[in-house]
Amino acid sequence: MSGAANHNDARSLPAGANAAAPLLEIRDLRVSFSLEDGRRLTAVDGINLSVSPGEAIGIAGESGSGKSTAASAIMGLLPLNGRIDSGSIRYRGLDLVAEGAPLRRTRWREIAVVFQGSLVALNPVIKVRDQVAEAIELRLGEPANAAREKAKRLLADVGIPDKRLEAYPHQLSGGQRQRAMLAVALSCSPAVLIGDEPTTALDVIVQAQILELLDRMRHEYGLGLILITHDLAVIADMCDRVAIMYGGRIVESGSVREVFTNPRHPYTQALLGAAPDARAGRRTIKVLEGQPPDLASLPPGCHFAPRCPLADARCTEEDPPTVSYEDRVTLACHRYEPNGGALPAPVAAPYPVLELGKR
Amino acid sequence: MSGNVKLSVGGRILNRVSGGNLLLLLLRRWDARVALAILTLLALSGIAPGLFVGPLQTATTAEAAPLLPPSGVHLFGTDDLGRDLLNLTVHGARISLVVGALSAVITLLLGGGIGMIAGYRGGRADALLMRIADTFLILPTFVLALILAPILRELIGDQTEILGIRTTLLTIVAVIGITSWSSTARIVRSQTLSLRERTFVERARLVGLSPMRIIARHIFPNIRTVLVANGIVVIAGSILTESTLSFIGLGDPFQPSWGTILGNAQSAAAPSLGAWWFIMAPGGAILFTVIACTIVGNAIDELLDRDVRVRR
Amino acid sequence: MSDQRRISAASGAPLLRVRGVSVTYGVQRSIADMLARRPGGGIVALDDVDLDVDAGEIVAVVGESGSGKTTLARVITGLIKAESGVVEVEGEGPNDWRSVGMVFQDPYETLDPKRTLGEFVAEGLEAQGLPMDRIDASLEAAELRPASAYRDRVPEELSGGQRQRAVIAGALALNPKLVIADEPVSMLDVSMRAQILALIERLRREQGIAWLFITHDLSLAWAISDRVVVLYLGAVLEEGTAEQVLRNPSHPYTRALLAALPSTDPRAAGTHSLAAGEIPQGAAPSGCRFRNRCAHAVEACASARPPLEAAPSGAAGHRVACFRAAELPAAASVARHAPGGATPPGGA
Repeated sequence: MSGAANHNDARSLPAGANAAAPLLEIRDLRVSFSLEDGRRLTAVDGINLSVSPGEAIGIAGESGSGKSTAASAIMGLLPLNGRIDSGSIRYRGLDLVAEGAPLRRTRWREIAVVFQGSLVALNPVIKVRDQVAEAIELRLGEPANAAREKAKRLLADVGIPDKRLEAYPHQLSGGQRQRAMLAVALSCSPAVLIGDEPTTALDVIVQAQILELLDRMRHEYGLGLILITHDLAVIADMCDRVAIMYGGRIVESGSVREVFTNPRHPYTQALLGAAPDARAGRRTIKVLEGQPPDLASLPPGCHFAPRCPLADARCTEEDPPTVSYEDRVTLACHRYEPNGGALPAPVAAPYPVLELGKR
Repeated sequence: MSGNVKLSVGGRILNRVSGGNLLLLLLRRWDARVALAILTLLALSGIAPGLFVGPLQTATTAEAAPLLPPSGVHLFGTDDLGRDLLNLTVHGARISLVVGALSAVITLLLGGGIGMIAGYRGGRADALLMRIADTFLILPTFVLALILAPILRELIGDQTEILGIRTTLLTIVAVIGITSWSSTARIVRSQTLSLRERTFVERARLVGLSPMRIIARHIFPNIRTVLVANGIVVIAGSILTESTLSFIGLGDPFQPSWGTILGNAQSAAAPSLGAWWFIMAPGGAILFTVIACTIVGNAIDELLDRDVRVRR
Repeated sequence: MSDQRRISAASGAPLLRVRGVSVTYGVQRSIADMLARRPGGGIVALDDVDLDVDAGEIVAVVGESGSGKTTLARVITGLIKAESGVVEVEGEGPNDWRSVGMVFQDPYETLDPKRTLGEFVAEGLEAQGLPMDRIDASLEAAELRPASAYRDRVPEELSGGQRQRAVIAGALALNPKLVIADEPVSMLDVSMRAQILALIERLRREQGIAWLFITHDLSLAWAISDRVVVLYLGAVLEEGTAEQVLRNPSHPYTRALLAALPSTDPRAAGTHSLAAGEIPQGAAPSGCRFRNRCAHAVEACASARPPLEAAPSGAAGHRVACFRAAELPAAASVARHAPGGATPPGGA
């Protein structure tokens, strides 16, 4: 499709960016919030992530895992009481953590976000086509007419029919709103697209349609895609790599195939086994006891230890280091020795198994 | 339940505003602190004027020379009859306090009750009650006061006293109550409407709880804070209204409120005589009281707003 | 089979019997309508729905947004009245029984933030004039043990899973034979769902409580239920045992649902969308409600609503509402393989 700038060519890069550097690289990112009673809550506790062009990486976790906070940090959308304590977020070598207007523009042009669909994600009093056109005008500086034409083409490309162009957000269905948001996001031909639970609020069939669309756009635009969701199945469907987050840390990461076929971290095993799967014919689920951790008052040691069937004394005293194995899998678990870097065999965590539907 | 923020499990950051911690949360804001201090002063003056000044000075007990500017002896100066203005202002606080409180009580009871019933019942009861409320909404306060004053005086009698307030002022209370309840009713009704759709109310209906019990147990506690915020604004409004009505002469000359003093200042031609203190004392009192009420009402509103926003 | 199921199967009477229930929302009759004696417009939430639940059975109602599943729950519990049709529990009409409990979707909303768990459970007892001594027993039956530790706590202090248990305790207090669970775990974190699902199954096993389990999650519906009813825009499109409907679906909609379902199993193929467009907001199309999105729709589908008839599979109890069900290509069982990893029969 014409109009989709391929960001693998260097001429359209912002000043200071390096075409050879990885698209997005996050090193040791730490984000915390200050609470009203003076305490500090560490929502993201030192994560490492990188995305290459055309690659899709999924960040999986439940509520409180820190995944959405990480996305907000990348986009510079942290609320007033949040701040990046340490670490770096580099877009093609450009440090995004340092503030500055040029970098703000970079964020929104080079990195785009699609949020969980709701009526408040789009401006309810502006027609959808105009919102897309506005984004094009503001960020690319194109004149109004050209922007509007481009907006029409873009909306058609994401599957919004002509007769819906004049609609306001509340007149569109959920799926159409997500398509519109995607059009806004893609309007500046970004290099990275972050989807924060983009399909969670949608019905199953519409979800499949939107995921198909995301995938097609990813290939057309050569995007790096970061998909943040609690739904592992969606990640399995869409992504090449996955990072599992718990309590603000990445406990396991690697290729989707490796991590989902041979989950090593006890939490990954619990998460994968937590839901039945009609297509795979599995009606047994693993039972994970306990509650997600209170991020404002964490006990020492591994954040997952209180719920982990493999936990021992060391787990409650020392934080497990993140070890990288053969550049294929990273793990943060005491149960797996560094092993000289060779990938260890998975150790099955003995969760109680519940067989649903037993008569 | 403390007023501190708790990070509840699962990452939802909550900061509940409930009766117990409302005061604590308010005190965290510097503007609310100042405002509450002023209001406390007002309340003290009203309840125990003896803390600050002697008994109310009248035309006969006035000792000083008329229209003296503020000095060490007379902090606020004296009025045209030689009465100490500080004395009058402090005693006037009681009038404002009682009038304000009584009006607020009537407004909240009427408005709150009708609003909750209309909002919960819906349908024709709602439509009827709201039409009635609308009718009262358009009644002009002052005209009504002028008309009602002699009528009520006939009804209640000249010498009646409630809480030390005499008939004339009771008229004012009645008028304010009659004209203010409808906007409160509307606010309460819309809150009730949205509460009614909440799941916990639906569940109460499902298990068979009677509508009255549901309103008392589930609706009312959740609108309490809105009522408080609204009540404070009503107090401010009623103080203003009372001052105006007293200013134009409908007040009680034997129990001068701030408005009455202002009226006296105007009749005594204080502005042209340069007796600024005569105007400043009561005027300032009204001004600061109303501002204080507005600040507190505003602060409560903001707390509620944040509560709603952050809760999810 | 539990005793209760044997008994009800013998007597032939289901515990819950819903026949021909229709509900329309937002009927606005203009004066012109009234003069012409016309019914006003409105959204049909439920259209002639039949449903049975036997004692001790778990029936899943699979529906997405706009399917009418919440309306169905409300009609069965008596919160709203159906315009037509019959709802009976143990042979009695809605005003005579209280043996239906309900678990709502949002545990954060179902509990009044200002009241304790004990008060929540007591509320039902109070409304029905029952003695208060059931409070602790209900809390413990919902696995909030010991009851004394939970009775006086406020929802704010508890996790989503614990709150949902409290909601279940509230339903159990009235000694229900049937509990309607409207998306009971969809708002809980995945790792906490197992606890609630285990509780539901235990209550069924040990106390013979039947469940009407409303969900949009097909895998969950398949795993936990005995029978499945697929609801779309207020009409039942397919019903049968969980195995029949969700592993061998006959209706194009059910097939589309399953094809769209992603899976973490690396052997399962990717998702694909077999249905166009989205669930229409507003009035449903004439005739078959799914025809606007159906890849197999023909003219006949617009003229009349297809009745529920025996599915081509021939299995007892498996019914589908589609004129063309018999003509559709025999789906390779949408599940790609049998449990245990055997290779799938047939091709994609």
